[in-house]
Amino acid sequence: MSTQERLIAGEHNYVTINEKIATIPLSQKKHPPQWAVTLLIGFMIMQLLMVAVTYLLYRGVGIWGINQPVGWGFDIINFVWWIGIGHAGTLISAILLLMRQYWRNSINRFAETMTLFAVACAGMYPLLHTGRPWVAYWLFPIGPNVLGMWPQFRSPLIWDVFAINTYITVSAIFWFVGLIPDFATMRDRARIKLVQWIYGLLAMGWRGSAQHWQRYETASLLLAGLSTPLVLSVHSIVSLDFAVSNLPGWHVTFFPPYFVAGAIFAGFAMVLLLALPIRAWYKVKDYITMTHVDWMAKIMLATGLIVFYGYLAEIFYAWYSGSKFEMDMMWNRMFGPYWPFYWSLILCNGLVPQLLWAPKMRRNIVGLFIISLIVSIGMWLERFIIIPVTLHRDFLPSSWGFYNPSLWDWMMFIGTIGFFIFGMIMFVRLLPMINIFEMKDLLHRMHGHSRNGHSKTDHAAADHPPADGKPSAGQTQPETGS
Amino acid sequence: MSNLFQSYLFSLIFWVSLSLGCFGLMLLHHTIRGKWGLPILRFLEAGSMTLVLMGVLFLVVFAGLPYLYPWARPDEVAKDPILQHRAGYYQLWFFAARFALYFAVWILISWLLIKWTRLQEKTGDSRYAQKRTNLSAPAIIAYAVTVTFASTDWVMSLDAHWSSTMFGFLYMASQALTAMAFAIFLLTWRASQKPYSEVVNPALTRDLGNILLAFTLLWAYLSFSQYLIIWSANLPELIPYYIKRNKGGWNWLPTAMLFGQFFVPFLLLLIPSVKAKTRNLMMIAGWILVWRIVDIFWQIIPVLRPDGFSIRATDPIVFLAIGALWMGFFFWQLKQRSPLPTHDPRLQEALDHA
Repeated sequence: MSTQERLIAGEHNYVTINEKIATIPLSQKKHPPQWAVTLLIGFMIMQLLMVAVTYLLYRGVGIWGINQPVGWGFDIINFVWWIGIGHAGTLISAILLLMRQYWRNSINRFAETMTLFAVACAGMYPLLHTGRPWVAYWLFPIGPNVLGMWPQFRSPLIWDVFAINTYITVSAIFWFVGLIPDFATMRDRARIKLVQWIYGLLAMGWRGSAQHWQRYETASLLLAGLSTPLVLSVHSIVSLDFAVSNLPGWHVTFFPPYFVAGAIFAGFAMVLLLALPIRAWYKVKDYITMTHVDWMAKIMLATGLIVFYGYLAEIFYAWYSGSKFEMDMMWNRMFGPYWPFYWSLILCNGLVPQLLWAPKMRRNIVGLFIISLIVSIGMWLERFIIIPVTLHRDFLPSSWGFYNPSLWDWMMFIGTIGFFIFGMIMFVRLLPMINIFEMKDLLHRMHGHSRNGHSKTDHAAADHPPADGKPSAGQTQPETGS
Repeated sequence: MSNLFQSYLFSLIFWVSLSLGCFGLMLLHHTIRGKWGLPILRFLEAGSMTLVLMGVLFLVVFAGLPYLYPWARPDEVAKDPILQHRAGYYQLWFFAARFALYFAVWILISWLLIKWTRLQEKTGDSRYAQKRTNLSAPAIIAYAVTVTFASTDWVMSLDAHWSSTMFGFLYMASQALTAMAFAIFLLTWRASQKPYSEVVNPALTRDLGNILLAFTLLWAYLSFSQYLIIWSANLPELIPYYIKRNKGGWNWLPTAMLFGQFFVPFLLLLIPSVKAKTRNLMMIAGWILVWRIVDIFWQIIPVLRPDGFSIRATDPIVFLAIGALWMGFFFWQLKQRSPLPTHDPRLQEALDHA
């Protein structure tokens, strides 16, 4: 197919792909100084999280800015923000796999790892918001025999527990299964005994036989099928945390698809924020090409438009409903005490992404990096508008209030960003950041059998027998669509 | 009289939805340029052109506004503060102006896109493909905005107080589902005839079946989300929408739809061998189309006949009459041009190989 022509730039064969990607985790020399600097920054910022959580466990949630009437503050804002960011990874790994979009091959590993760390950051917040995370098992339906009670099954907060646990479990298994053939490649290439042993253990005895590949393909297809509904369900259920209430501004029927679109929007912004510097630092521009960057920007534009549609629909139907409370809620968002947040939101998520209509902008690395940053801020502002700005003024003016996040709120939020950066940068150090065998698969699809006769490839196949990615000759791929 | 207008509105909304679905899918095809859209492109183009007919047929509704819409009955408006609040928006001239604008936008965009396909076929100039994409991508925004307002004007406002931000989006999904089922039905029905037989293969029917599955899921997801949110908050302004449609025998329709419109096609379309055979796919597409009619009937009629479930003689008669006009116009449009588009080399390759 002609479109795949641009997915691997430059001259590559199975050997150069190994050289390029697999050697990065095996040698510190391959890591530029930016790696160490980012690691240090991430590690230092992560300490804020440590301090904030320690003090939180000592004193309780009273150290946060939450109050009456704003009972949900940074904890839920950041929970929704982080969990949303994770969605791009699942979309790339599952839905694009089922749609046979081979351009996902070079970014899926990266995006899936981002999902795992983002969900880890997200999961901390509701857990700590309970105030007593050591009794978090009460959230599970362990039953009256143990706890003397059931959880409230009609509460979406309980649906969240199931949705997010399912999500992290399936994502982690999918991620690990996808890594197994690459672990084998790493095992075969490692020169230090201990490193060989570690990667060998993780490779779980992978030998790359046809049978292994056949089972592998079935497993990843099944996992993709399982993950696909999760892309929609997790954030839909998160949106129901708000939407099933009867509060104006929360009780919005459009919330489920609007949250899902926002999640993918924020997620692709984060993928770009990470991928753009890393593809330059590690010189993997041949694999994460401008075509990838362009298409990710297009997805960002499309999902951003759905989100913007949501903002406008909320305004129109608040007026259309004729309900005083709906109209006041909208007026308060636009012209109330938090007005700068609302208009910044419109600027960040509504107007700035329109620049992506221009093909030049989608291929302008610096510009795209800045837009992604603005979108990430915008999606955070969206949750700020939805949560405290809605809660601070509800039906009774006598119970109106204000929300001011405390220093501890900020420390914990910034701390999770540090944890995320630290996690991602360690991942780049220790694991192949681009899926090695899927890149070979892509190369195979692009050039058909022509590369099989290539002397270098034959040589490589003899060098690293079966574990070395896809067996080239004669092996037909099971179709990856259903 | 009132029966006639009720039947007319229900029938019109179904057939307009089908036309708009064709229009929306055509925009989607020209934007993402998927290969799957080429064999059904002619159906989508002819379906979009029926909007001209539907615009004319819609004028009849203006004669019956007070029979249908609470905002068109002055006595009702006089005692209802919410209707008074919207009175400016639902002045007759403004309603009519919006109606004219929607159809103007839809017809103009359809006409341009079809013209550019024709010109490309004639001249072989591939710049027209880029022109179509450049128009279609922003046109999807125009489509989303106009369909949102149109569905609010024509269907949502049948209930005096109800409103839902999901409604426009749900209409877009329903239209896409209707048109996809319709296009698949036609293609699979004629799959054994030339030239369709040369492009219909298991890979294509699998892709089309999967898209039908995706739209079925989307429809179910959006409908259920809207229902769950309104049901759980149980607010006095919003919940009557579902109460009116779930009492007096009307409740059988959504219950049947749960199986007919969702579970049956969903489970069948999951099976690969079902999607591999044109005959199976044709039956599923036809089945979905029947349930689309039931869905539109359920959305429109219960609020107009609050005394309980009833089907009047005018319902099938008017439905078939408008349907006959629609089909006549559609097939006349379809006959004007070659059965398969010739502008895209990918389809030509398939034809040359056959």
